[in-house]
Amino acid sequence: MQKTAFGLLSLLLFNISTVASADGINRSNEPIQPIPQTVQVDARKVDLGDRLFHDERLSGDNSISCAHCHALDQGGVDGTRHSFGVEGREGPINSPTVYNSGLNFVQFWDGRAATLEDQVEGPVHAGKEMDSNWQQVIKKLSADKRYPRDFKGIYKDGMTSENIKNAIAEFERSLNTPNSRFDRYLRGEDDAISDDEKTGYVLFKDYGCVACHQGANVGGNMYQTFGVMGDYFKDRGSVTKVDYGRYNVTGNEEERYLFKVPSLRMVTLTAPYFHDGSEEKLEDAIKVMAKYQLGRKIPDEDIGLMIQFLHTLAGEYNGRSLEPKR
Amino acid sequence: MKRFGFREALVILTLSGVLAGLYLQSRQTGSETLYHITGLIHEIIGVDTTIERDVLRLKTGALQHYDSVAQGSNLLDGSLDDLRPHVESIPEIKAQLLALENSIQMQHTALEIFKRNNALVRNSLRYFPVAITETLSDAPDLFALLPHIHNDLLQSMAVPENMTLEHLRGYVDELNQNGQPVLASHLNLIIQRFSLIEESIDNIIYSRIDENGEAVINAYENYHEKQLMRSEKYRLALVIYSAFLLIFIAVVMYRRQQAANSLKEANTELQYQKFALDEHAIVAVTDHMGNITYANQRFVDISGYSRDELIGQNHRLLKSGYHPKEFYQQMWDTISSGKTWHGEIRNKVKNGRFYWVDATIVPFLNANGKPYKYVAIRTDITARKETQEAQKKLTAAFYHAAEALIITDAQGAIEHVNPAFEKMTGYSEAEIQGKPTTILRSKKYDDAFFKNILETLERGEVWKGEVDLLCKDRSVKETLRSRAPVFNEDGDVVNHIIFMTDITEEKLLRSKVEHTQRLESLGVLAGGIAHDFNNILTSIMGNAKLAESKLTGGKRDSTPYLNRISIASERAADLCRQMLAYSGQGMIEVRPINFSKLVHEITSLLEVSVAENITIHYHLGKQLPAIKADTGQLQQVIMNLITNASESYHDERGEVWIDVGRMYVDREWLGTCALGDALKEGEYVYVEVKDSGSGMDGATVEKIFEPFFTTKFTGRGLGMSAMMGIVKAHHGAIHIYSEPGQGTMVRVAFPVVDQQAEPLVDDVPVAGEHPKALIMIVDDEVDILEYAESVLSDLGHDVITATSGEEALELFQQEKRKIDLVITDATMPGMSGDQLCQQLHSIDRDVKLILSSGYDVNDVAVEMQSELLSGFIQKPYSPEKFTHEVFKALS
Repeated sequence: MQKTAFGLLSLLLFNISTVASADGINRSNEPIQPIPQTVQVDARKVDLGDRLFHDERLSGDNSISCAHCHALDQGGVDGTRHSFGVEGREGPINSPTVYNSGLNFVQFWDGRAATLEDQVEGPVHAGKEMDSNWQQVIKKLSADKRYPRDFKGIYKDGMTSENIKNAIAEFERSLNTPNSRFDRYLRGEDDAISDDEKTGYVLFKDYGCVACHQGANVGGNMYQTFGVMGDYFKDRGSVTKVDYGRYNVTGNEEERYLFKVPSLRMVTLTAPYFHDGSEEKLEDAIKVMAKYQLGRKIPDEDIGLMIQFLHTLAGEYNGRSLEPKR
Repeated sequence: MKRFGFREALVILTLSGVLAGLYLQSRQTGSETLYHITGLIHEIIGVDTTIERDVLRLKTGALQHYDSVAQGSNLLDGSLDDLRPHVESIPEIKAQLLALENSIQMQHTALEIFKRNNALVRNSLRYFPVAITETLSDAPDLFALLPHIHNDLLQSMAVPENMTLEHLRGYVDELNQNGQPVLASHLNLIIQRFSLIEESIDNIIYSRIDENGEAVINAYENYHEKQLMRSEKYRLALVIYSAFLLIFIAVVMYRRQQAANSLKEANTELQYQKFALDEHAIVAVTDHMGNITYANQRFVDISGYSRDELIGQNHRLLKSGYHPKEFYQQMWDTISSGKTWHGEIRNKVKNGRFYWVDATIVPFLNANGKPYKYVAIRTDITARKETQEAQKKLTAAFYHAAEALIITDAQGAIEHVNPAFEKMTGYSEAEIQGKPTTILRSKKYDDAFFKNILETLERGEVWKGEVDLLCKDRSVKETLRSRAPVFNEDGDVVNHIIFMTDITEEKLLRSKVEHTQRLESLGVLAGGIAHDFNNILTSIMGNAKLAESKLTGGKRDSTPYLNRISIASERAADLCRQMLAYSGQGMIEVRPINFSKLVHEITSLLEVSVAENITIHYHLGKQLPAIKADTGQLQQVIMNLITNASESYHDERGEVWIDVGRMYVDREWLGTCALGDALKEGEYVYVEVKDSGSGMDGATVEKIFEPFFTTKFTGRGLGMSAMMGIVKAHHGAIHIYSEPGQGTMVRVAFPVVDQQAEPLVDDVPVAGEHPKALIMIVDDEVDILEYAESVLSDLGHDVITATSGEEALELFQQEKRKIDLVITDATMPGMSGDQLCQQLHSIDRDVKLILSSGYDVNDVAVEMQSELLSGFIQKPYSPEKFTHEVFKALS
């Protein structure tokens, strides 16, 4: 009785819908939302941004483009623990995927950029990334007759740093990956995912992963402290400045080790994991998450099911599915 | 005008600037901004409300993702970014804006705290019962504790005022002591972070975004209200100002329009004036240096230069060199001191010719009173100047002429005379002006003479002649005079000009020369006559001697000798007739005749007169008007011409053409004629005799009329001279055209008369029964007396003879018988024929009188009353002619 009572109460109070909806029922109130199928962008800017995104001249020694660290054919990342900038300099942090970055509520691991435009500033100037400046970039790009002409065609003031950033950001906003199998499932297509994958989703919710990894981007809309249920950084050791996370931005002690919750949309394609690229394998990353964030253990079988579920999250880009073959 | 415009423009510009300022002030309070701001804040409040709602839904689990609140939070930032530029510059709203920003920031922070803690707490709360269940299966000893802890947890959550979470803190230690660190840490997390959730929700809900938002709106509305009032003031000012400006502009425009209108009118007027000026005058404009800047068409035309050649040139280009340097200096002094110069200048045309202009040069003065340009307006007075020059010359000619000149009006009143006149007459111009020319008349002429002169002038013709002049001192001078009419444009005679040459001396000289010439001529003539007469007399004397010897020698027939004497006498008479004709005094009877008929009459005579080798062709015009002529003399003319023409063939075969016709004779033709100068133009009848014989050269033609000039071996050289005399007496003209080897054409023309032609032949019987009468014959030539006496005696008349007028008169008075007829010679020593006739007539009115003379009847009759005479006998006369005249007189 008592047990029943508290179960009921739990249901009443928290309305935890651990029970997956029956086939054909409304899934609009699921914690994960489908990525909008269209995004409002200016095709000309996207085109221009695409070229800029792939242009090495944005770097000081013309060796590095944006795509260098955010290869679109590699899930929008470079697949390395830390990224390498000009002259092979190794950066301090792992590159997050550029796919669906427009859905993030802030940019960078520590959220120091409110917009994608602001974000562009970072890598262009960072010594261990592109190590350049706008004056240099514009000078170099002006040598290419197409840029000034195309900028003039789109922007009244032609090629400026602001417009370069806007064009790149516009391109990045076009990098959403809608129509994943899971999104189709959310939209009522029950056969879009397998039963194991459905089970994986239920487990994903049950273990509480979904508390942070929710919304359309399955993350990317909040900060969370890394190491809630245990001291991750103490356990890992060799703490660097980037490990302080949002503290580096606000200086607020309460926000030390606070990081933007990353999107899991492309998670099966973007190893290694975490801001420090410390985990090569997804199951290991999930284990780290279970230990330090959830404060519980998850059986390997469940982890496997959840990974199956995670595979269904990668959608399409340019009409082509990005979901990796298994 | 210009300054006026600039000032007005400046004022309008300034006023417009103020207007623009006022407008900016008045539009700062545009209500769109208020609406925009209000809209933004309402959006902020709306988003805030949504966030609050979603936060509550998240807390209860009704919403399971943070997308909406994260987006809401970004929207708030975005709206705030939109709002900031509109209001951050307004001090009155600064506090409210700051409060809003703070509240949004606060909510932001609270929302982040809520999100992460809510995620954790929810996970722990959900895991807590699961963990209890798992724990109990491993450690049933905790069955009493764990559900209790769970129960308390639920209670403290459901009813926090009864049981705080702090109360549960003891369980954490207890769980740790019981070897349950996982449960302990989860419970600890819940205890620690649940309040953070509550707190953050409070902070979200009570962020006062709505209040602060409304406060911004209110503050802005207040500000707007104030601005509105201020702008209302400005707007009023703007309206007044605009009205003022409009009025001002209207006034300016009106004034401008007025000015423009009057300017336009003035301009049009000026254009007309310029046109009129350009039409009339030569206009040039120069700068202050005299360089030409404008030239009108007349200037271009008269100067001979093109406009391009004139523009830019100095005006001295036109200098003709006529005026002295001082003339130009004075002109420049005048105009450069700002005064108008006026004068007459002779300028040079491009090609070097000259023209005169009447020039006015007007300087245009600048503000300093200095000329900056000159306008020269000129009129071409070349014609006037030339006329003046010509008049000067004419006047000079008039006053310096050697001949005396008089100009009178049409009535003959003297207007001007020249010094030569003054010298000639002794009258000064002053004393004779206005007087009629009649005061210059000598008593010698009657009124008719002068009337004739005046009539000639009235006809528009020039009168020429010799007239005596009565000088001031009453002396008389002989003058050669011409008096010509002067016409005005209508053809009326307005003046006479009289030209007088003193020929008193000349006449004297001329008469001496004439006398000498006459003597010379007489010598030639006498030589010629003497030669011919000697030949005739030799024949007569010789034959007379032969006849005498025959008669005395035994009654042998002397008839052949007497015949020869008779023939020689005829030749002598012919010779005399020719000479009389040459002297122009041979004409006896003139009457209107038809020339064609005359020629026709004598065709048979002509045929026998010419050699057989000559053919004569006649062309005698019909319906010819009459001419006044002596038939015998004209016959003689024709005979002469035919003879000359036929002889030009020198016994060879040839043709002669005679043409009689009418022609209109003009001055030009008369100019080619002998005797033509004195004749008038008009209708003439002519005879033309043409041959194609030997012709004559120019030298021969010149001498053709000289007496005794002949080219014929047997000629006497009197034919053409006689013809000349005859034609002159008939007022005719002779035209000769001849070329050596080609032939000769002679045309003789006589003026027609407006009379009917008379028949050619006298119908008076030549002979008949003469009544017996007593006739007296008077002649100083005894031969003539004897000849006449024998003729009259043969007719049965009684004859008394007298050798002088005195003797005749004495015999007439002594004679008891009635004398029926007296035939007297005209020229006798002592009493002349006409004197005798008058005397006899006064004695016996019935006595018939016949005058006989070697001269022309007309000449003789001039001096006597021809009405006394019954007839006239031209000497020498044949018995037939003589008896015919006597018969006429007696019957």
